[in-house]
Amino acid sequence: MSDGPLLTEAELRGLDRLRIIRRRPSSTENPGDWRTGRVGSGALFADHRDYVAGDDLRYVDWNVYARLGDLVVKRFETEENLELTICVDRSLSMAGAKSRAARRLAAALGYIALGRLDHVRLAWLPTLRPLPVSTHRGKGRAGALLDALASTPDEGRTAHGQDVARILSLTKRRGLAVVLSDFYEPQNLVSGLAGLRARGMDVVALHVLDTDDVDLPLGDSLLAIDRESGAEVKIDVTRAFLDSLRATWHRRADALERWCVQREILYQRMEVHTPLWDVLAEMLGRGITVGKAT
Amino acid sequence: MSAVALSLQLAAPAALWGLTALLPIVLFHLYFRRRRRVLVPFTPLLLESFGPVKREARFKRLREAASLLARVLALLCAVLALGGLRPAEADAKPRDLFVVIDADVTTAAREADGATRLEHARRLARAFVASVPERRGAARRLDARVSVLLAGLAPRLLVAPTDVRDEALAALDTPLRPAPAEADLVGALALALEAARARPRARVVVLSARDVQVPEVPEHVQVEVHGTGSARADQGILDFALQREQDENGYVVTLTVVNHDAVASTRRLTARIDGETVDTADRELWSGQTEEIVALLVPAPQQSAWLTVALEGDDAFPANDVVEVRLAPVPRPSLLVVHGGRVRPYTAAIVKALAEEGLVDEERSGFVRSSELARAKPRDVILVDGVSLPADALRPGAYVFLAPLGGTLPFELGPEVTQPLIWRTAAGHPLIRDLDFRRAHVVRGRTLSGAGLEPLAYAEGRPVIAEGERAGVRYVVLGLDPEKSMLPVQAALPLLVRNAIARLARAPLAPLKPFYERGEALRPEVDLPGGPAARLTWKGPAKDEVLAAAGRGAAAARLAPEGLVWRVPVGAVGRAQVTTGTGTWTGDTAFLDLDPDRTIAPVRPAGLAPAPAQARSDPAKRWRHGLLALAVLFLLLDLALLAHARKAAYRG
Repeated sequence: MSDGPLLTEAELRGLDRLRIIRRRPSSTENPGDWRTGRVGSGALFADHRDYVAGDDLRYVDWNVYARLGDLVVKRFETEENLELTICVDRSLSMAGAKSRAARRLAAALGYIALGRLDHVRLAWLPTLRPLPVSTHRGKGRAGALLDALASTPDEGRTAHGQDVARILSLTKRRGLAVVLSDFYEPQNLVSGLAGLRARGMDVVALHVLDTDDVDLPLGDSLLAIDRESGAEVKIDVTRAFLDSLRATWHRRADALERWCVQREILYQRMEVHTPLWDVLAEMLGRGITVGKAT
Repeated sequence: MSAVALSLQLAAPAALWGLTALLPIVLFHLYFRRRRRVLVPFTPLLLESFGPVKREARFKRLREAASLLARVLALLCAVLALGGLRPAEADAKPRDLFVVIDADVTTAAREADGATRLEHARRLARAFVASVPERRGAARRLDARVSVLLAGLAPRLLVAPTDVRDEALAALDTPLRPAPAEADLVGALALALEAARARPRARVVVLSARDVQVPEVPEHVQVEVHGTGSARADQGILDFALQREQDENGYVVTLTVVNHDAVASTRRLTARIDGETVDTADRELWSGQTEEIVALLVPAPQQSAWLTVALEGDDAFPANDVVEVRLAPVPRPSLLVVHGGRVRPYTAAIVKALAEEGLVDEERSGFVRSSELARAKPRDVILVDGVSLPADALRPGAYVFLAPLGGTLPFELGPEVTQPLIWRTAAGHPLIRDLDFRRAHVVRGRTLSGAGLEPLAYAEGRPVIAEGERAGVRYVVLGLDPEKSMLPVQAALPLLVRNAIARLARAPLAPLKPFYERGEALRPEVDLPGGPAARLTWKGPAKDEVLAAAGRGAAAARLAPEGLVWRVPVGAVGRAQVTTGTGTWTGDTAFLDLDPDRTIAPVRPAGLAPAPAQARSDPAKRWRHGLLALAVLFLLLDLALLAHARKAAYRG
């Protein structure tokens, strides 16, 4: 890949102020400074609850008892390190603007996670051989991560189900999985997401969309060749056909979104020409995945 | 119409090199009609989108082919325009024009506008003459010679070869008359072709609705045949026959009628004698069918009269709707009764009855004693009533003998019959048809014999009633004596006498037949004075044309052994009065021209009048402008196709 560095210095400085929030608490025993939102034995006070028999007396808030006479216990959030798995689609259907946009967002997410000493695992769809997953931790690995994202070529055909199964076979950890893809899967476009979800991972599906995919020249007679399969289709591009093509394109994205919502997978569309900060702001707006550093 | 080949020539053949521009046009077309190859990320998305829409745009390929054709044609027209394409004859002098107008009898047919077909032909001929361009620099002078022939009974030169426009047109302003019979179109065409062959370049235009066989002509002669009408709503009489009824009191008219029209038609047949209607019949005539009709009965006139049989009502061709013939009068012979001194009562009664019935001319009839017969004025029939004739009294003529007693007779008398009962007759003979002798009591009778005698009734096995002829004496003889018998009071004797008089007196009262058809021999049974130099003339309603067609005022008749023989010529149609050269004898008859093949149904559509000649312009310039206009037209068509293609793409 070329077209310059994926992230500029200014963008990197901006990313330093961000952190990633998991939607659900992790069950791993990997304590860290990552607020999981789960109330337990962490150092961050969360709230009070009524005392019940058997509660550890060390957590009784005696100040409250002294002022109010109510016996309550203090609750604390558990803090742990984030296990972030970034799955980037590098099939030939992504080649071009979609691939660059996906890699920029993956770089941003990875950079944020590395800045918080989280584990970042980069996986490609289709997978690289011989190492399908490269693991990074610490801000010092940010350069290597960005280089890998910038230099890995687009090639191969989309087969998310197979590729995800291969990735999952190499790790027992769960954590947060972010999949960036156009989801042009001929057989089953949700096979990869379903595999990740089945492992119990917290999954975010970032659907990379490029309107150029459905913006064919009106009035032309075309021999359309599939980038991945090489299949050929003869078409005369008419207004009716273009309308039908765009409707199909939207219908396909809507179907994917419905499927994700039903399975508690965060789904977000990402148009390739949308600025990086707008994408991150939208994720922030959802309040689940990306938040301001504390 | 013969095909006219158009030969073209190029002023600058080098311009054909411009056709090499066809190559980039075709390559351009092939390049843009190919499908552009594009890489797409996901073809299943395209396939899924094909559901409600067509994979290929409608008529796209057809539009592309039409567009290519329009471009090629535009280039072709432009190249030919630059090359100076024009007809090879563009600068040639116009052809000399020979117009042949068919004036057949069928050109009397009226077209939808009321004008006759011949009138249409005249207008067409005028238009053809007017289409000949004028010579440059010579006002009113044509650039070619024109002439017009009229094909009537004989070809006639209507306009002699001339190049003076007004002279030719003035000759064609005169109304023309159709010929009374079939026109000699073949002869007229042959004359025109003969004249055309002598010219360097000639054009022969035949104006006729009939079938025309055009002979082989040399290349420099161009022959065209144009129709002159389209009317076919005609019913006509094809054949006519007239028969006398058996009782001599009337005629039976037999007609053959055809309907040339495309639809059935009901026409009324009417028979008139001297204008007075005597019989009518309505007949439905089916389309295209020929039908023989025996329907009209007309009484025999007392005097000679004209019988007119007509199809009433209007049609396009009235000339074949009427037939007119001359009816001979009922024979009214004069009768001379020869008696022995007094007329027997029953004989006087019979003569009176015959006179009252109009069967005998009473004024010219009379009675005479047998001894004075030789001095009596000649009569048509002599009735010898039971007396003997003197030796010198029997002259050639017609005789009826009642109960002959002896003397000079044209037959021989046999023995008397003892039982004069008639037991056998020649029942079919006209003389005794419908007579019944069985109940008649006869007192006496004599048997008959002799050369030339034909028995009609027998008693005791021998003839007692007979007819015959000997030495110019034609006779009917009744051997039974009616006196003192029951024969006179029965119906037999008066009828026998009436039949005998009518049979003997018929000739020569009708020397001419009621009508003669074209080409038929006319043999009047008259004594012609003047010997071999006798001539026959006639006059009728079409006298002028007949005489013109015959070429002289009278037709020579041949004096054959059987008498005067004259053949009815073409054109002698209508009422006619036949007169000998010396004017001693005159008779009326009719000449009919009934041709079963005659029809007004045209074999070709009516021709269109050519446009009048315009001021002659440069033909090369006209062709160049025309070709350039065509090139522009094709380019505009190409643009329209492109616009339509774009519109179709947006519409889907």
